[in-house]
Amino acid sequence: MADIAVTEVSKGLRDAIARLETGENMESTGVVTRVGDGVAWVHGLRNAGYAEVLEIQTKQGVVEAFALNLMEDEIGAVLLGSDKDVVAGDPVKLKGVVLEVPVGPELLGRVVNPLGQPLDGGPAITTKENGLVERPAIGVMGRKGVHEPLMTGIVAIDAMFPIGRGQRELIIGDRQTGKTAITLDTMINQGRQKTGVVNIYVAIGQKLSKVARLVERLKQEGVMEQTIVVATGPSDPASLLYLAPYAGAAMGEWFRDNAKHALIIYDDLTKHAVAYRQMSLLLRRPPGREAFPGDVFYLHSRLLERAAKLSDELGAGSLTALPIIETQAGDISAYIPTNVISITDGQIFMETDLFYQGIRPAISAGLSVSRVGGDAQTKSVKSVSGRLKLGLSQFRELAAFAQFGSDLDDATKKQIERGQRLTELLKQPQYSPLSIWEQVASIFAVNEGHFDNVPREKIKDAQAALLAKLAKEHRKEMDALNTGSEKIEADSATGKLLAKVAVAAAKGFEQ
Amino acid sequence: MNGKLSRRKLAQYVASRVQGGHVPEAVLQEVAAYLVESRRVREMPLLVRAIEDALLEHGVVVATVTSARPLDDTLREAVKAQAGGAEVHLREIIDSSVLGGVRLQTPDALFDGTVQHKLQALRAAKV
Repeated sequence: MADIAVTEVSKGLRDAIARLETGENMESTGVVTRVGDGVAWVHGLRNAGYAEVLEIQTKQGVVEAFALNLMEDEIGAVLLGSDKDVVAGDPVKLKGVVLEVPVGPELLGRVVNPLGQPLDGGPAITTKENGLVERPAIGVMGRKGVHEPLMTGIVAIDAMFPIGRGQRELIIGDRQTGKTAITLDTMINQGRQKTGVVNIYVAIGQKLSKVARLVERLKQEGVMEQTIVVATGPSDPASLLYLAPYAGAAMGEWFRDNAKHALIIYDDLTKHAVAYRQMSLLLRRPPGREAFPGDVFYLHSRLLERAAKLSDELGAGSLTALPIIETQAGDISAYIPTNVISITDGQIFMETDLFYQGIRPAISAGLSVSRVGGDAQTKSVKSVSGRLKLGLSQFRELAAFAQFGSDLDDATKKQIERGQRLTELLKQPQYSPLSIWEQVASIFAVNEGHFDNVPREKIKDAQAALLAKLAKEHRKEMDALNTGSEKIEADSATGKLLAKVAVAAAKGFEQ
Repeated sequence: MNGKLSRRKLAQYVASRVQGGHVPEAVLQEVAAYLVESRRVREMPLLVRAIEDALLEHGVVVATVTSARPLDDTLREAVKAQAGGAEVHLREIIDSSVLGGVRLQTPDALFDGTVQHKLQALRAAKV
């Protein structure tokens, strides 16, 4: 072999490299070195990208995985299926894509897993488009302020903590306090009020019996045609639980980006964080507080940032997110709750004590807040809710004195009684969301004192009578009120009409 | 292959195999294969520089001479003396844009005696 002059080293090296780099069409492969707990370690595949899909060729067929740990000489990949068929020595190929799910209107009415495969026994889903599971959120210029209401149909929320389209409102509380019930009512309301908002319910590690019940209810209510359910159960691998909310977000983004409105419910992000902790620990990433990995904040912030109200240039679509967090013994200062509280635009806090006192939905008026929804409230609801909030907060201050009963002056007694009536009014049975005019009329009647002579336990009956009378005799006016554009005052025409009917309705229940 | 060989190590390896101003082609083949395998092909120009630095430590100077016209033997010897070192290898480049004179670039020094450089200096001084 010839020698090369030192002055020609550069050219010599370049030629040698050129001779070696001819294998353009060669497919790179790796090999599984270890596998267990849903994680496979792969040697080779140096050109694998982050979150790229790998295909492991097992004797029983192909098992997919996605690469999450890219190290110098090894890849840590999380399996998307069962690890029981994967053995050390199995060859691994790159699929050449990052994770995608089918998106589009074809998914409506279906129950799918986070990979977009049907779980409802229906036919295979073929969509025109696919959406990236991990996708950066829209930038500043693509957004617009939240200004349209997303009516939940729950008086306490729509009046006191209004939610706007494009908002992220956290629902937080202990187990069995009615968190899912609120989101279910909100979904049902979208169907009843014909808002056209698409519902996406993401069940993360929820009991499949619960999901089945929920789907059944949605079908009964006729809302399933505008709903997509992304379901994962407790027995699914952690990788699927981890992917579920991102897959749901990708499906929601399709509606957002096509000038439609969508509502996405993540039930719940506590289990999501736990699934991610499991994956991270198995991938040998260093544990931090409560053994969660260092990027658990980013895990949720990048997810919730994808909920947005788009600017007019982008079609003015929206994706509203209602994440759910389950607390332990009402502790909202734990790691994951504080993280998600700081990411979202407000929270609805559910209290166990209220729930068992019979105040359902058990929304804590003191700890709940909506930071951007005020702009999104309809005019008519806003005009009656100001006094509702004031009345309730005065009542809370005075409630402690209520036990002294007769020692109080008349004005204080009146405020306490008004507060008790308002609290009574805000109780609402499940599956019965109220439309705008129903909410406005109910709050107006109590606020203006028309129900002051109705005993507390009969407030709900008086409300029902009022609404029935209004629906029967004043349908036209109520349809107009339902648009929400009118400001209701005691001396306006609508105000006078509502007062007249309220007084008449209260008659039958006065003591 | 575990761990990564530093550029300096690679350069020292190549420099140690240099004999009489020549590198065996097999050595370059080895290095090229390593660069391709470890996906470090883009480091090639830097590696060449490092090799010249390493050769300098062994007293071998690889210098680049740029001139407007080909060098004659007397001039070549003078340039070699200027470059210093026990063994000097010249890479000669003919570039008419230097107008006249020579530019001598060694791994650790630059002597610019070209007319182009002097004109540039004058232009800079005038401002």
